[in-house]
Amino acid sequence: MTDHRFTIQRALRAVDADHRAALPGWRALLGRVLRGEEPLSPAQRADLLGVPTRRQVLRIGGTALAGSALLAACGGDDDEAAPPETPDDIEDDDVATDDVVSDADRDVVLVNTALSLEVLAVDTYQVLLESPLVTSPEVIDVATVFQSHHAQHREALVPLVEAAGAEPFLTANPVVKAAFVDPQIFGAAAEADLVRLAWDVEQAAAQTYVHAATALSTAAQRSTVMTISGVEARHAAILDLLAELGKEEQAVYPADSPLPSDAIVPR
Amino acid sequence: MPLSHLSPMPSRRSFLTVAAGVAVGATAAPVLVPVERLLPRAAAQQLDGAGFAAFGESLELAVVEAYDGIVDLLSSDLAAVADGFVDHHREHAEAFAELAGERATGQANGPLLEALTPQIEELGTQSAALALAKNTENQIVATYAWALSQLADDAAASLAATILPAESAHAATLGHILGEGIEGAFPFGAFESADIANGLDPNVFPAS
Repeated sequence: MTDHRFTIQRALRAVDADHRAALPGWRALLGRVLRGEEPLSPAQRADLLGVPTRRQVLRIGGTALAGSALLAACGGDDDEAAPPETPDDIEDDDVATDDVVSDADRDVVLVNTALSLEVLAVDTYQVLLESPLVTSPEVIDVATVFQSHHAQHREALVPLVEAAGAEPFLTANPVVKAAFVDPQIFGAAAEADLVRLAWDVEQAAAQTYVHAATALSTAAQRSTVMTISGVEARHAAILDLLAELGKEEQAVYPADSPLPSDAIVPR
Repeated sequence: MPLSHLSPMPSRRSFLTVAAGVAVGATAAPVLVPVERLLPRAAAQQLDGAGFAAFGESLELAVVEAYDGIVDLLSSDLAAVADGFVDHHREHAEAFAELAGERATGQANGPLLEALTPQIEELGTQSAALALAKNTENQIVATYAWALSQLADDAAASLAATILPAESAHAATLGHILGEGIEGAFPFGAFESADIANGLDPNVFPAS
């Protein structure tokens, strides 16, 4: 599992290097697109901005259900999952409209995905607090406070989803939990392993909010999610110092989603 | 410029008061509406993207100069940490300048430097130097969080979003080094402040 983690970290560093190399050109292109200086179709603009099309959202929804099914197999609750769309449904919808999804739908997807990570973070810190591996008073104190912060973030996000007439996704992200968090918990051999896991979750959450802030439709929502992202970056910095993880602080947080597409929570 | 222009920088005591207030509020009102609670009451204007980018460039360059002004007070280990942060701020300034285009000035924010310089000159200890740096980082974070509530320009908002968490991490690191505990690392509790009263108002600290 350690090799797997190092592989992921190496991959992430490589992605970060690529991102840094591409960022200046991307920013310039983005500026031209947003100023209307690039002759692109609406679909091309959406693709460039990372806005999911209806087809993509439906595919994400279907794949997320598979993640929930995996959770159910582990004894979890998949009540949140909606019935899967069939390929025929998707094609029909795409024929009917190949437009970009509405701002409200996209906002709900982004906020609900963030919400699922907040629940996951609360649960992860609960594992830390109950683990016999965690004995340092400093780590216990910090985990207690950070868990409280995440609970407050969760409560802050719920009204944003409800205001859009959607159902808040109050389940720990099943895909990230099953594919990343649970294996690390089961493989943890020392306190530092669990602190490192908490750092990973914090970084993923902080970056998820940055991604959301680049795509949410209103300035108020962007500001709200970034008041959360900053605190999660602070969490990560403190965990790094406390457990001497040796992580390098980032100059910029990448704007792309750190999550696999099947971890995106459907509307 | 009188130091009162930097009065939004809260003291350790006021940080604790603010944090306690947030905690009480969270207990009394479990359903939070952070947009209304955290946004400035009087902020009505919208920032234009290039203008904000030029403002951001000037702030970042002023912070670089501030770190340059305190580095002699720091141990070699902490000077290395500060150097890393300076590299970040230079990178941020370059990114803002690129977005600002013709409105980029390449100049540090004059009013901010005018306010910081007398404070830097009076610093006598490493702790005081770190506290000044931490408070400035916190002000920048609040400024960008506020700006995100005002910006209609997607590119400028995206850039501010990619930078904000890095500066939050700087502030938390400095608070931890200062041994201030949780209160020092999280001056506004579970959320960053998006109130420009806790940041650097572009009307008070305009780019040169």
